[in-house]
Order: sequence, then structure tokens, then C-alpha cells
Amino acid sequence: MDRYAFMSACRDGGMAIERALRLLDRSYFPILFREGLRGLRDSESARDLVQETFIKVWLRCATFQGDSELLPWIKSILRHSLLDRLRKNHREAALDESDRLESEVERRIAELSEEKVPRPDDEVRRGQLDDCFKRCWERFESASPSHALVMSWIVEDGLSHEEVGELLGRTPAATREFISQCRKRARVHLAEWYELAFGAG
Amino acid sequence: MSDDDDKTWLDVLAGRAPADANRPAAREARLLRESLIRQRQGQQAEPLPQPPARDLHREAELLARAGREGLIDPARLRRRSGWLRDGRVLAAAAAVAFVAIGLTLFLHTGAEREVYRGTHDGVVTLEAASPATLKSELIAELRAAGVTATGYERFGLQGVDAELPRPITPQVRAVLERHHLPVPEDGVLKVEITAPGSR
Repeated sequence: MDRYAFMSACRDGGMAIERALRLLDRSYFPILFREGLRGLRDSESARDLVQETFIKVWLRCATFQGDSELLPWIKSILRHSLLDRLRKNHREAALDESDRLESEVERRIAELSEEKVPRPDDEVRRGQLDDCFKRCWERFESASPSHALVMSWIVEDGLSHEEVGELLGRTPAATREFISQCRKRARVHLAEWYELAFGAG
Repeated sequence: MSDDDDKTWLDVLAGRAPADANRPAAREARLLRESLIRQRQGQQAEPLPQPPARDLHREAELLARAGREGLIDPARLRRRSGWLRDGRVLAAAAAVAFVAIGLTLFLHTGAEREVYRGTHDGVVTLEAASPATLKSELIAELRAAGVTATGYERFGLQGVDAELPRPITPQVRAVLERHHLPVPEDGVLKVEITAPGSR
């Protein structure tokens, strides 16, 4: 859907709403559904999330300035809702500083990345690394879905500190803390992969 | 881990060049980024459920939801004879009609849920058990009637501002009447909604 058509429908209101909702659904449902499915891992919940997003998009249409494309704006609304759902459905375990095991893992990873350089890749080794990463990342996603999801969005969309803060609805300081938590949690859950990636060969 | 270290980590993870690419934080993030990108490429090759771009049942569901949210005039949804001629969406149309009737009943009973408390300096005060809910409903109904309405929350008080068309259209008049709102002389509707006992 063209952003100018969207803005015009928003101004017109009334009958234009129905037409605009249909167009939004036809233009963006598949791509948003995949995004929702990645975070929620359930087709029905992902479908519900996308429809909730379209309603929110319409309720907030007057705030769309038109200085960017429509899809990134809609995606950010979906991501907000997705993080909200994850927060409600999943109480992420806090990383307890006193937990000896986690501290040990973190210390070991810090040592490895400090002292070693990644081993050179060959095809077999890359396959092993990727398998290990997949396993570890699934554990990470399961234990800390919000942190894992935000990290994957950072990679995909090159999000800055400010953009992450906007997405989370947090202050700069709280965003810094969240990013630090992402890194710590990744180190804990990806420990096995770090060992393999940085370990002596 | 210092803030500076985390910043380097974030920059590299996001694909930006850090000041010092040889810092351990940069190496760690670069490896993570490469692995995440490879994993993503692998996922895209997997056969995930791929919904069709156009799905009439899904559209009907969305419109029904918009009806429940007060975005679409239920009476107009009922008049969509074109839809009714399409055999594939009869069930969806029935669902929309069901929601429309439900919404009409809801709006009818909704008239009892708020109390008009008066108008001072052009600002109408309503009292409702759930001011935030009433604010959302009022905004949605005004928008569905073609009015640009904005909501706000100030000092714990919910409010709605809207510039009404002149002359007032029957749809807008219906919304005003449903919520016991007088027609503003200057065409600018200003509503404040309080909770019982909050004043």
C-alpha cells in the first residue's frame, strides 16, 4: 500500500477505513505474519498479532508523518506488541549475579574472546559451528525471548541505541542496561558455541 | 563489561564499523552477527507457513475486529451486498453481521455507562467507570464518523479533542447523542472524562 494513499485514507476516515484495512492486509499480512511467527512460534497467535497490529495502525494513523516508508512504521508497531506479549506470557529469568555457574561461564567467555582469535573456517568446521549455534540460540530464545528477538532485529535492521530504546519504550540508561543484558545472556546461553568458535584448535 | 564495550558490541552487531575493530567486544559481536545472518538465511530456505497475500476470510475477520473496536460503522458493513453475493464469504459475512448486531447492542447499552457532568469553558465533563476505555471508544466512533479526533491523558485525566464538520453530519450527531454530548457552538469538541469520586 502506498504511504500517500494510507495518509489520505486516514484523513478521509469513514468509508475509507474499510478499504484501507483490506489493502493493509493484502499488502503486508504475509511479511508481518512471518515476523510474528518467529517471535511467538504459533500460527494462531501470529495471525492474531498481525490483525491487532492493523487495528493499532489505523488508530494511530494520524501520527504517521509520511517521511518514511509505511512498512517499517507498521513493523515497529508490531514489534512493540510482540515484545508486550512476550513480557506478559514469559517471565524471563533474571541473571542472578550470585549464580556461580553463570558467572563462571561468563568469565570463561570473556577470557576466550580476550585472548583468542576465532579459528580459521573450513567447510566442516563451519557446519559444526552453525549446528552448535542453532542449538544454543534456540535455548537462548526459549530462556530470554525478548533479548534474543531484539538482538536479531539489531542484526537485520542495523538498529542504533536510540532505535532500540524507542522500540522498547525505555530511557537511554534503561536501554543501555537492556543491551548489556542481551550480551550477558547471549554469553551464558551461547557458551558452548563460544568455546567452539574461540577455543584452541 | 563497560558501557563503551557494550556500545562497540552493539555497533558491530548492527553492522556498523567500530572505532577499534580489534577489541574483543568487536570480535565477539562480528562472529555473532555472521552466525545470526547465516542462520537467518537458512531459516528463509525452510518451508515456513506462507499465508496467501489475499484471503477473503482473513479480511472478513479483520473487518469484524475493526467493527468490534468501533472503527467501522456496523450498519454499513451490513449493507455490503456484494460480499453477500460471493458464496465463499457467506460465513464471514454472517460473522460480520453477528458482530454488527452485537456492537449495536453494545453501543445502545453503552449510553448508560457514562454520565454527563456539565460544560465549563467549552469543556464537557463526562463521568465513567473506565475513563480510558470510554476515551478510546469515543475516539474510534468519531473517527468512524469521519472526524479527526485526538486523545490525551493529562494529570491522570483522560480527554478527547475533535474538530467537528459543519454542518454536523448525522453520523457525528449520532455519536454525540449516544454519549450525551451537546453540539459545541464553535464546532470544537473538548471532552474530559473522570472516574466516579475523582473530583
